[in-house]
This record gives sequence, C-alpha cells and structure tokens, in this order.
Amino acid sequence: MKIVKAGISSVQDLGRTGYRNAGITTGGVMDRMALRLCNLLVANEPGAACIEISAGPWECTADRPLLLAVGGHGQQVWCGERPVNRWQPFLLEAGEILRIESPLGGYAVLAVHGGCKSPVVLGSRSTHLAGKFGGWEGRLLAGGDDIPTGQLFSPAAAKIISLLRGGTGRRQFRLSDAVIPNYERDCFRYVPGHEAGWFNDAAAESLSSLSFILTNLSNRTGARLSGEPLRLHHHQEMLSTAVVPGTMQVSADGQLLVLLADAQTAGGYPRIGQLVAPDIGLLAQQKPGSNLRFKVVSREEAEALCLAQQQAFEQLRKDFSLYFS
Amino acid sequence: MALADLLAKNAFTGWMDCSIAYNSLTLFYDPWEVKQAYAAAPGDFVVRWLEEQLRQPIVTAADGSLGKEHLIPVCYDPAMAPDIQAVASHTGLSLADLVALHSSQPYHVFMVGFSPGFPYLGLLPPTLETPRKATPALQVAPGSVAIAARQTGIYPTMSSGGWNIIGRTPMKVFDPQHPANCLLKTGDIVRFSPIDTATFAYLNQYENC
Repeated sequence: MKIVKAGISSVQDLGRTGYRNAGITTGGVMDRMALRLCNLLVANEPGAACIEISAGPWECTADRPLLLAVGGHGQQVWCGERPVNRWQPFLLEAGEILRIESPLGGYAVLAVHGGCKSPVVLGSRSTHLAGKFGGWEGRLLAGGDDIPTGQLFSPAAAKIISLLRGGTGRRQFRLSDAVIPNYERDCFRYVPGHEAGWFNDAAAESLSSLSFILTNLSNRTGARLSGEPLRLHHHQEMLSTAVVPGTMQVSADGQLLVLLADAQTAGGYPRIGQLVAPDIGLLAQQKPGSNLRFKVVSREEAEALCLAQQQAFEQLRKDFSLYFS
Repeated sequence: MALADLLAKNAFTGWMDCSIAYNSLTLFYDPWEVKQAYAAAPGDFVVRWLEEQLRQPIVTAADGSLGKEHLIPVCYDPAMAPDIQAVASHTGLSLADLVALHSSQPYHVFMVGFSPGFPYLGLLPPTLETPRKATPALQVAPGSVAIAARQTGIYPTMSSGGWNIIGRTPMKVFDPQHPANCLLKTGDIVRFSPIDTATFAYLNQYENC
C-alpha cells in the first residue's frame, strides 16, 4: 500500500499492554470498536493493524488489488471516481487511487485485508508518537511510504472478493445500523473517579446537568472541554498516579480534560470520573464545538455496558464467519 | 513493588498490567476475559482475588535495597539549562550552590511514567523546592534534568514539559530502538554527577543535539 498523500495518519492497532511501569501507554486506535468492525469486514482478526487518519486529504494506491473497509464519523471515501460507503468492504484495484477526506475531523480507520505489517514492537504494531517507536518508523505517515500488507489465504476473504467482483449483494455487506457505533450520542457515561469526593456539590451538579463544549485543543492524548468550572472543596495536592484513556481529569482552572488513546501513564490532576469503555471511542469522534453531557453510572452498570458491547461483537463475528465460510 | 511482583506472579486469566505509582498500585484487567474464564461478575471477582492475595505475607528484599544504583552525569551549564537562573533566583542560591545541592544526595525512583522512561525522583532538599513553570515549554531536549516541587526528573524524549530545566544528561534513559530497556526502574537509586560541556560532548549518546 503506497501512500500518496498522508494527511495526518499513522499505523495503529489495539495497542500494547504490560509496559505501564516503563511509562509506555497502551496507545492504539482512538476508536477501538471501529477498528474491530472494519477488521471483521475485511476478514481480519479484530486487532489487525490499520491506518488511522485524522486529517485529509489522504490518498493511497497499490500494485495489487486490496480488500479494504473504512469506518469512522463523517469521512468521505472515493475509490478512483466512485464514492464508497463507510462500514462496508470494497476492492481497490491495482493502480486505482483511494481518497479519504475528513472535512469534520474525527478518526477514520482504514482496515486492509491481511493487516498493515509494520514491525511489531513490544507486542504491537501501533505508532508510539511520543516515544518515536512502533508503527512506521515511529512517526506519522508521509507521502511515498510503502506499507506492506499481509497476504493471507482466507476462504472468507476470497468469498467477499468474488461477491464484490460479481457485483451482487454489494449492499448486504454494509454493517447494519444497529451495530455501527452511534456517533450521534451526546451523553457520555462515567463512573465516579477516585477523587470525585474532593469536589464540591456544585461541581457534581454541574457535571451531571450542564453541557461542556469540546474545544479544538484536542488530540490523540486527550480532549479538552470548556464549561462551568468544577471546583474542589478545598485545595489539595495529589501525588501522581495511574491515568488511562477515558479518565476525566480536572485541571487547576476547573476545566475537564478527558484522556484518550495516547494518554500518559500517570497524572497528578484529580480524577472526577472515568468514562465507560464503550463511550471512549464515541467521544473521541466528536467534532470540536460539540456540546457534550455526562451521566453517572455505577461500576456494575459500567461493567454490564462493557460486557454487552463485547457480547454483541462476538455474536456479529460468529454470524459473519457462518455467512462467509 | 513486592506486592506488584506477587500479584503479577499469581495473575488470573484476563490480567493485563499492574502499574506502580508513589502511593498506589493500579490493576488492569479485561472484564470480558475474566467473565469467560470464571463465569463471575468481573469486578467482584477481581476484588475477591485481591483480598485473597493480600492475606499472603509480602516479602521485601531483606537488606532493604530495592533496585540498582545509578550515577548519572549531568551538565549544569546554563546553555543546556534554560531555567537554572530562574531556579537560582527563586531559591536564593548561587549557581554553584544549586548544582552542589542537587548533586549532593541520592534520589529514589518513585515511579516511571508520564512519558516512556520518565523517572520521578525524590525527594529534593527543601531548599531546592520550586513550583512548576506557569507555562510549559513546548520543546524540552531529551536528557533534560528538571525539578518541580520536591521532585526531580529526566525527560527521556523530546517533549513539552512544565518542570524547570536545570541541566542535561548525555545518557539515554530511554531508547526507542529498545523501548523495553528503560535505564531507570521504580525502586532504583540515582545520584547525579556534575560534568562540563566538553565531557557532555564526549559522553553524548544523542544524535544531532
């Protein structure tokens, strides 16, 4: 896969675990469900490495046909001159140009059958931009990069390709709306954080009843929100401790910072909440200027949401393999 | 740390990581895996498992030593220490006294975090206590030695940072080619040894900086 225009893009998978004591974050795609779904559409394992694109125009080409799928929020995709839907597999024929535009921001996931074969570093092909390792030479992609993709003998992929070439049932391959992530959600669920009790009653009230604006000071590390300042009962210094994607920190000026995929491993701001896992990718896909609201749930509810999402994905995976085997 | 080792050794299915901070341990697990393996509510299972582990005796090193001892050369020349004057005026110390004080004592590695390989070292002598900068620097050179509150640390990679830069080490504390081989680990002991710019150039492990 030869990159023609790189926009802002990098190789990502589901990240690396087990190295937090070296200060190495999990990282990986911003929208984990989008990656798993797109990998399913191109007959990959759920964690195969993709290209994540956060700004276009992005273009690539290849000297052999590639089975691809794009997921995300609001991106436009063209294969040569023909527009392509998100959330369904398509073929990029040898020599054709694939173009992705992200007029509204958000993170597009481009999955390719066989996966992007950047070298595995500490168990992952993800780009660790701060550490300058992993992914493609530890950096953002650039025009001219030639990313190897795997070549698999997969009956499922062969079947998808032959159906796509036959022109039949093209529509059936689109994921049903029921499983496509609901990016219209504007209310994000969280469990109270370790320092939730440090905040005054007005802060708890504001967090559950007011909306917060997503600023454009948002990136792979975190989303900075702007709204009613959230104040502590009294000033308290805290010792740095673990933070993860989804951790809702409050900076000294009372503003919310929701950490995302490339969150540092430790932080020293009070943690007012922790987003439930299925909502992290949804928040990451929101556009700057959006109004976001938050709703508190119990740990049991959060766990149930997480398990239900995984259960639904496993079911989809089963259905898919029955259909394409 | 002994507890983290004990937990990791007895890890359950679905265990992902255990991270150490100043006064906390954080356990990471995959609720789906736990549910599949133990057919139990994952959170409840992990809490019960932890309670069980905590009933065992935790064995720490008998001689009280935790990790390796490191001697880290640091060049405190103002050319490599953009904030050393500010720290000197905040603390009321001369540059020579500041350097002498910073390199006079051993420091514990309390944790490694923030960015890959970044060691949180302490505690600084109270005289050196200096608040973080009001505005973080956008680019801090790799190897920069910095202080904030009663902590000192080393920036392993080029990054932004709000700590006061008072010197730079020519040693690589994190190597992207070998990301698992961080020089400093939680529990290690660090001493700083002042060097001049010529020695820095001789020892420099960083390219084109």
